[in-house]
Amino acid sequence: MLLQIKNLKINYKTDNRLTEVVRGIDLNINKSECVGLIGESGCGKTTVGLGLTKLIPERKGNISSGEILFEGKDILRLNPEALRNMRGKKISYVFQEPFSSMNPVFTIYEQIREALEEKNNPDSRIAEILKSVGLEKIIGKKNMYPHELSGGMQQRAMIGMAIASKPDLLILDEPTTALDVTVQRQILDLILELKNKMNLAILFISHDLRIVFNIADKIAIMYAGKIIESGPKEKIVSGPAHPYTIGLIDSIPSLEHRKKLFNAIGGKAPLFSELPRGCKFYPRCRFKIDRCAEKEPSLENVSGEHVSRCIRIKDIIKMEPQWNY
Amino acid sequence: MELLKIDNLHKTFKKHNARAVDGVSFSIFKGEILGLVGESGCGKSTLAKLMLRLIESDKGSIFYKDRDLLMISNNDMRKTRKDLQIIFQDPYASLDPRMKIGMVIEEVYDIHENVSENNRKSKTIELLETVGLGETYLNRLPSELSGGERQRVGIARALATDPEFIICDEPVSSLDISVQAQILNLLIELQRRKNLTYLFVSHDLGVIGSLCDRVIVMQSGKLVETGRCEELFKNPKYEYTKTLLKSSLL
Amino acid sequence: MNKLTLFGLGIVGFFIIVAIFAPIIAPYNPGQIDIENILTSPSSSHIFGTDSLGRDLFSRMVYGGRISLMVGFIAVGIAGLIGIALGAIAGYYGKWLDTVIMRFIDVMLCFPTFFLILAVIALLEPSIINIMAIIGATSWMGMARLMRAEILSLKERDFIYAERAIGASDLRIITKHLIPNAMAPVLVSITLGIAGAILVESGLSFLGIGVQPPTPSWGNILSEGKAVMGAGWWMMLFPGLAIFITVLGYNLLGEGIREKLLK
Repeated sequence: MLLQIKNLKINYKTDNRLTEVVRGIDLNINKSECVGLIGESGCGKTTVGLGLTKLIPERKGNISSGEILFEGKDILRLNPEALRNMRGKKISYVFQEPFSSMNPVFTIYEQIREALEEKNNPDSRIAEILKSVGLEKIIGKKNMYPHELSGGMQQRAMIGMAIASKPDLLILDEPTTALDVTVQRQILDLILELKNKMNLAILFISHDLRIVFNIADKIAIMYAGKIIESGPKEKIVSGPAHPYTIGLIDSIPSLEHRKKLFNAIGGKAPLFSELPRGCKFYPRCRFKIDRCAEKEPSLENVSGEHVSRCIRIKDIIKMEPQWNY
Repeated sequence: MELLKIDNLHKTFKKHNARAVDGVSFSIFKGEILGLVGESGCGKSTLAKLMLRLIESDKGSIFYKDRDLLMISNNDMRKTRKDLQIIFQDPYASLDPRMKIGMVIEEVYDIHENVSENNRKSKTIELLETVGLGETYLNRLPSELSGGERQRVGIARALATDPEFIICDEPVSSLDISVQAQILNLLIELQRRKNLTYLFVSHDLGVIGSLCDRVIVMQSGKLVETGRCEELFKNPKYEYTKTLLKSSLL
Repeated sequence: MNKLTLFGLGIVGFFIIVAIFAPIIAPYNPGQIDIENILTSPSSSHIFGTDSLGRDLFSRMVYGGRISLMVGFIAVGIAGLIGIALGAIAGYYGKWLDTVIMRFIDVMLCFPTFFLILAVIALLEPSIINIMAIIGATSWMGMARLMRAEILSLKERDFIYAERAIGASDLRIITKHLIPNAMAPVLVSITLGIAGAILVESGLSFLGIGVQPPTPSWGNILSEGKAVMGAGWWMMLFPGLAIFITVLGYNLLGEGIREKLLK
């Protein structure tokens, strides 16, 4: 096991008040495994990603408790120098907006060189990296600036910078949301290719189920700061075991779903300052019973590694038709 | 029955020196949902704005009820706007940040004087309820609403003049999937109930496939393929359409 | 809001209140001549002392503040109206209208403002109305540019297209939707502009071509003080301090507004 997150809790400051936004996450990522973290706006998924290497600035929030074991050592207890040696080298990031993630006044070459371990004679290594991310066109063009590239090429460059140091874990947060559909496909294929070639472990954070279902081996779904379902992709896709997951899958538009109304989830996600007492999904749940509002459920076993935070799993599985996504 | 006929529309932006819309022609029939697909930069948003004269076209015609909208006076166009409306993509940019929700709707009545002054408030509440909001939203500012709620306000604003035709310009692209489904449901129900005609612009083929009767595909300012939705998805003729379909995760 | 800004707000507020309640605050009639008490230093009966005609300086300062404030507000009001209108038109309509207005601004900026004002006042008579008008007519250019810049970016936002789509007229769009959303940087300019206008008026009055005696103004009191420098230090100190503190106050407030808006 490469990364083991144990009961991670993170506070975030909104309107001058600290609220608990990540309320106890457990997640494991193995070598060469792609774990998808799905959740909608405000569920805390980006905070988890940033928190993994303590990237949350102190004035915005803090990690209140938990352990993040990377290769056996707890990241949260590392001294600043050891932490810096790990960030960008063993654990790298790729964010949503490639243009805002790059420094507009440095050339692409300069920025990739910055990410390299060995900074002398970088040219051949940079050429190698550019080739591996499909940017052969840029090899040799040392005066190329970020704004001269298209969105897709910028994201390829970002990925290039992220893998330059041959990291063990790559964290991507909505890396394709800002891109066109055709480019999106290419970037996803690139990520998979790199994963296989470099034995990369990947944490892929996104709100788009379709993408995550496509690329991940294991999936975890977040709602209101906690993981409400997780397990191997095939199990979740063929037999989702939480009302929220079912609602999300029912919301996916497609040709097959023609001209029918969606079985949409009503209402909206709760504010962290106003979480209901029992199950946090209770107000919007199709399958709710009174007992659900009493206590927040813990993760129950569905089968093997497939778990769900719902007390009605068995009833749901009996009621819902089997999915064939 | 043909509601709108776009004929050889052209628009070039001098500063980009590119042909945003390059000789586009197509028809829209009453009661249908026509999908407009294409990637960013293909010109679909520009086309949407050209159709309602929100940007001036260089050349071409837009026929609505036997009149060429590009030839009528500004005053006549303003009256015609009652029948042709638009919903925008970005719920955060499509509302005046300083305007209360109730005023957003009432302003429409003020401009067109289609509702008498004492009825305006009740009509506004009625309209907000139609889109799934209610009286409690009257005095709120856009910053207090979620993306989905703001989009509902945008839909209410478009409905305030009882239009016949609405351009939906990527109305759900900025929303989370669960909210997207709610808004799509709302648009579908409204279309059925009021027999509206939509031009539905999107880059998301899943959304297009689940809603549209016919589809037109744009690439680099040109219309490259047209067809009935299922036909296009199952038997795309154009290379670009095939690429689009393959890339989408359907 | 940070402390300096609050301090600035306090100063501005203080002078506004003093100006409004001048008749109640001033112990004497500012025009009341008292030959027996010419140039007396500050005392319990005249806390700021008296001037060369025995008039109570404190009362004159209080009424003078009214004048200075009035000139400041109205001059900037006129500048604001011209600047906001021209900037909005240039930004919204663009093309030749924009070019004409921008070149006009360039021409206006070529003139050294203070000398332009001097020249105009020399031609007309130095009345308060003329002063307000001329300061207003020569200090609108910065605001026009700021307004134009804001509108250029705002008019491409979806909500403006939406207004056009629902049939709003250009006038409605400009006055109800664009200008209110573009006021932020202009507000800073206005606040700082009031300080500037007060300074210009004080300068003109000091030179003798601003507010004419016997109407008190901090500038002309200062001018009188210069004439009797040795014999009446209070005549230079108090108006000088008042001008300094007022301008400081508006500057602090303006900077504070700018910081708040930049966040």
